[in-house]
Amino acid sequence: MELKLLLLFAAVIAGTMTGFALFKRADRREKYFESLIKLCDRLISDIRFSQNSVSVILKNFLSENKTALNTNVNEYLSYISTKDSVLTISKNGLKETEYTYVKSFFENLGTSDSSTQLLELENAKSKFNGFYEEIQKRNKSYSKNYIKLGFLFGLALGIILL
Amino acid sequence: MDRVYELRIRNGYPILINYNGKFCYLTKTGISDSKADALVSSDKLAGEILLRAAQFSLYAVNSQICDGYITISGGIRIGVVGEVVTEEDKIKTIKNISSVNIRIPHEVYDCALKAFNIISGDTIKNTLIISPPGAGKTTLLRDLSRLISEMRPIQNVLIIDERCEIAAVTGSRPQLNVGLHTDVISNLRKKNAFYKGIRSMSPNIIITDEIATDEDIEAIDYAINCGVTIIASTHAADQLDLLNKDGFDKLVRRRLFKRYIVLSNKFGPGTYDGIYDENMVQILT
Repeated sequence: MELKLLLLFAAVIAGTMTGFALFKRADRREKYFESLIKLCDRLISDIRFSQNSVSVILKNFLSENKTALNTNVNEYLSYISTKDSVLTISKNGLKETEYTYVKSFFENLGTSDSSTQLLELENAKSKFNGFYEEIQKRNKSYSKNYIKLGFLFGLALGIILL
Repeated sequence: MDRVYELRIRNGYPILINYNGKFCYLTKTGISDSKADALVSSDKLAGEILLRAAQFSLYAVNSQICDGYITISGGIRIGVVGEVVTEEDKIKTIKNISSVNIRIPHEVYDCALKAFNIISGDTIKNTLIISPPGAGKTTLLRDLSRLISEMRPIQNVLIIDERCEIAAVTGSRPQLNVGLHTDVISNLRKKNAFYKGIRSMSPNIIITDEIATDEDIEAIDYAINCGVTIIASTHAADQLDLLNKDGFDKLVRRRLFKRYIVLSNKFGPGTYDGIYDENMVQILT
């Protein structure tokens, strides 16, 4: 009996943890795109007015931002400060289409004159806004249920195993 | 590195290096006159060099790119050519960069001592430095500026550095030693820079590089009339070649310049070929 209860408890814990992990993942993607939009805004205003170099803008951004985007920003900063000819941007839990846009965003950073760069940044921002709204909408409907569903799934699995 | 003056990178072609005033090929182990050993640039190298030199921020240096060059820390000037993008007859940018020319400035302390002794006295004399490209006129001007700063009574010098070569200001201070009492106006056409500089900084001496057009000559005339001493340079093979240049014959006839210093590459950059007085009579070899 004790073993069965332990099994039930373990299944509930595992289900809840899975639900929590899914919730965190969804939350992380939402925050990632939220930060990316903020970064676009920062770049747009800086390029339009003070025209600091990309590395200065990104370093300032890093000191204020605490999301998963920092990993990619650090990868980009490392690329521009070394002799590496290939830019590596980690996937950070993004879907393939999202990743393609994010990678191209970093690849095009600082490679054109200000009017072209601003246009590219506006386009990227609008694309990221699209991703963000989609994720936010989905998260509103589902993310808070992930933990509940995980718990219930674990409970059901535990009962079945009993 | 002291003897490297220039690197020329043309996409798809061997890389050239100006070593001690002479062009040769850059190889894996050094330099060579043989094309067979030369390092060949990739098809994208020129663009990559520009991008890295601009710290991946081309938008910040685009106005310089439109003028055909950027200046980076250390006063290194990178000349750029490629596909020019225009909009309503104005250059918007240069894309598909095909060649870059990296010019490394040199600070040769006291290289201008001979010239300085000739042009200084109670006051500094209006002086024109005549030299073909790459013969050291900018290095000479830079050292003259530094030497003038050591004069007493103190002379305030204004450098009009249209192409950012003499003082190489990046950030907010000169990258090269142009003396303690020197102000620098960079990236502005000479005509505007002369008018603005005289009004705002009231210099005793103006130093400028590569005067070429009627507009430049007018600006010099204006400055001399304002009582400012001019030390300038121009491209010409020698003093006789100068007389064949439009506008310069008038300058010589009016004896605006009291000294002409002719430089050449005969024994390396900065070789004095002759120093002439206002009547174009040689006073020193």
